[in-house]
Amino acid sequence: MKGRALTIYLDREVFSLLERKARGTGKSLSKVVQDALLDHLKDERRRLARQKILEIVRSRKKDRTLIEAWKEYERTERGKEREFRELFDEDRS
Amino acid sequence: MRIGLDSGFFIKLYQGNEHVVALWEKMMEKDEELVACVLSGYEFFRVLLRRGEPMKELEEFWQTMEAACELIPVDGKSVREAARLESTYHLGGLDSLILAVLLESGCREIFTTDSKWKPISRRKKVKIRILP
Repeated sequence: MKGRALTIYLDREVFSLLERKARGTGKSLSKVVQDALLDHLKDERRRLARQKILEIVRSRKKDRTLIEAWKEYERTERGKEREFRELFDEDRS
Repeated sequence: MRIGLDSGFFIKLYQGNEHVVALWEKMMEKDEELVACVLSGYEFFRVLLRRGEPMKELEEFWQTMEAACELIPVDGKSVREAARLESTYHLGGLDSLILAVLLESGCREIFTTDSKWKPISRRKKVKIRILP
């Protein structure tokens, strides 16, 4: 597989775990590191996306609450204002 | 455990249904393996566009969902399973395809709003959870 080289430094303990894993699975060190990194990045992406979904849902709920409050205001207070204005206009005419 | 999500789950989640949002939070907490059929995207957009939801917001939600869970395409095996489910349980074509994809992908628990799916759990080793 074509790719780019990257030099990284690992703790001795991590390196020996990595070697053990590579021997046990018959994979190269590069392949074990690449698979682990890929799994980690995918997990991270999934977790972030799930959190973002929750944020979208919560912000939509906030918007809906505001819209409902505005509609309620329109229905009650603004209605009273309109009635008052109509009465006022009638008196003037 | 692999958990399957039907279109109704996403629609209710988008609409902020409290029960479904709580389920989503629980799934997040347990970091469950969530799967859905790509066809659920079609139902999600179709239902919510018809209800006047803005396309831009729907797209943002669905694109994020594509990263949040695994979306599985329909293949030859699931098409045959869908035909079998449709004739056995008298389900709609689209519902059969979605259900077949979830069953074929190994889901042991499926969340749906479709009560017609309930009898499936009697014959298959899968828990069908009907959302309120």
